[in-house]
Amino acid sequence: MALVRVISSDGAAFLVSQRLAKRSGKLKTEIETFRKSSDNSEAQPEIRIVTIRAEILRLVLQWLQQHQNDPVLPANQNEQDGRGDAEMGQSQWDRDFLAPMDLGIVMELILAANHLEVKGLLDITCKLVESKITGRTVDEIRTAFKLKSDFKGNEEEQTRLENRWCVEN
Amino acid sequence: MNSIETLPNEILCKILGFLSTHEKFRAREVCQKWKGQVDENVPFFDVILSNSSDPAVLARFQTRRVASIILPGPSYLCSNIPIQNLSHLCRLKLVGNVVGPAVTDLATRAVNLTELEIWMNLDSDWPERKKTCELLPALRKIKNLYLRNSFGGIAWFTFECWKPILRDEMPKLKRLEIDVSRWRATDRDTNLFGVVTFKPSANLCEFSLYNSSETQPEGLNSYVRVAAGWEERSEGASASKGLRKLNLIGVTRRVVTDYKQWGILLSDQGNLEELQLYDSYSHFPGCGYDMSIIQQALRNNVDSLHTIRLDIEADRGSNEFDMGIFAPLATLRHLHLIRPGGILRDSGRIVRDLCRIQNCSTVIKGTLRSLLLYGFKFQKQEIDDVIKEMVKLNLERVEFARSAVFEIGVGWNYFQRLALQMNMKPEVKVIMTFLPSGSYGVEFRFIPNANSS
Repeated sequence: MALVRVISSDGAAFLVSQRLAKRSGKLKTEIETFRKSSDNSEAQPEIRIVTIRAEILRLVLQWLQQHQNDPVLPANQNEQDGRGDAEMGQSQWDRDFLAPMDLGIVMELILAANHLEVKGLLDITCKLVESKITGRTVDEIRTAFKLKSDFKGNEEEQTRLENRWCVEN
Repeated sequence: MNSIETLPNEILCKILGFLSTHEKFRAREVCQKWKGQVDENVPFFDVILSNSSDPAVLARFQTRRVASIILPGPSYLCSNIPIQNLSHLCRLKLVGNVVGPAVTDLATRAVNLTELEIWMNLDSDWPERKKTCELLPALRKIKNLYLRNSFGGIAWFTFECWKPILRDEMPKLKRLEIDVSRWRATDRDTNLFGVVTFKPSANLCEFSLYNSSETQPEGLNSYVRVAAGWEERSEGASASKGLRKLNLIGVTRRVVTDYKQWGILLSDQGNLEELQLYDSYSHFPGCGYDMSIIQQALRNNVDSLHTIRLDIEADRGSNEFDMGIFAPLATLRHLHLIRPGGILRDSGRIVRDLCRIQNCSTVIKGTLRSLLLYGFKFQKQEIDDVIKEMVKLNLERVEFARSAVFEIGVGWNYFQRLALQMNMKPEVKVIMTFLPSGSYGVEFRFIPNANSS
């Protein structure tokens, strides 16, 4: 089985099968680039991911491992078609996987999934953040995400007035 | 520190894009950045343009990325729809009598329009209904077409307009849903399936036929023509991949002699992932379907079916519904059993049988995730057993809709106990249903308990 070494920003090396690694769009490209530039076709590729630390990289690989037999969703999938899928794809395993994470870890995981081009993981993590926005008041959203209102003067009031109509229906 | 502020704009947009229109507007109030993203980059689904909306507010949508528009009334028959940039518009929903020059113009200009949903109501107020013909040029690019009836609608689609759907002139059509209930035989011009045989596009992968009407059984003639068309298609195109999703709702009311005809529709499929087959009216006498047709259909699709919604009362030939027909299904994840009349008394047996099958069968075991029981009646003395068996099924989600447990004096406590033992959180909601006797129902669902993990 062909392997690839994936190295995190803090120097931890993960040895994974190329088949698994290729489920990440980014790693797939990197492996192919390595193949083209290397004279020795047997050589084991080594990929350094400078933006992702070990803890997060481990989570991404763990998710990929669990979902290695899922069909690969096209990255440019029409939003129209994809709307229902994100919900369908979330299994009990995914929920257990995400449950213990705090918001900071989730944000890092989103960035990692985006960087490594793992659409399924990006979808479920974004969906998780969305679920923390839905059903909350503006103040609750600000508290949850540690955001401050940066509206000046009566801008906030103005925005609220603009929004009034959509509640009518 | 990683916070939501570290995310690139494209991802923030993706997250905000999942929100409903209402929530998107609330998100605008959070901070300048969110407001900017919602205004500039987040596509809007389900923008409702109604009479009451202030023109100044509507004008704000002029340049936004609107992905979906709902027009809920006849107000746009003449006036212009205030959206200039239609390049992102992919879904258009028309509720009521809205087809007119402005809508036709909108549908034609939206080059990326892929979904059209039309809900019709009283046509008597709408002398211009033949104007639906004008939508024809826009239809050829449509992938999803939903023709639905809201309450009280009667024969409205004109033959000239919809003939192309029936005769395979919409090559891109992937999903088709038609409520045929109001297509009456009394008006030859409007009873489409009475005049022309349905021949579906080769790309069709999801097909739903509804007969939501209680009082217009004539609509059922349509099924016969549809089945005949299917036969024609199978002979012509052997390369057809078949359907992934087939919904036949309200069909079981048809008299027994016609079952073979629509049975063709079922037996022709080998890649079905979702099958819905149920009756919407329990009190229609002398109806039911031949269980051997269903059994054969399940057998043909054992490796692909993941969702089944079946009216188990329709098999009126025998009183005992055999749960064994589900045993060979290797990929079944969602099972919805519907019993509109609740005539059979031994509802508890259904749960016990399901357990037994799951225990014996090597295939269904481990795949089943959700169970919905609709219209069941549990006996008070069997409830403890039902709870025990239900826990064994190890489901992620359970729903009871219109379960008649209340009638026998055990109510909310029962569901709470059940939820507790399944380590889930109970939820109650009111739902709209197709049922004739009272359009509202109560639904109990059990969802994973967030605190338990």
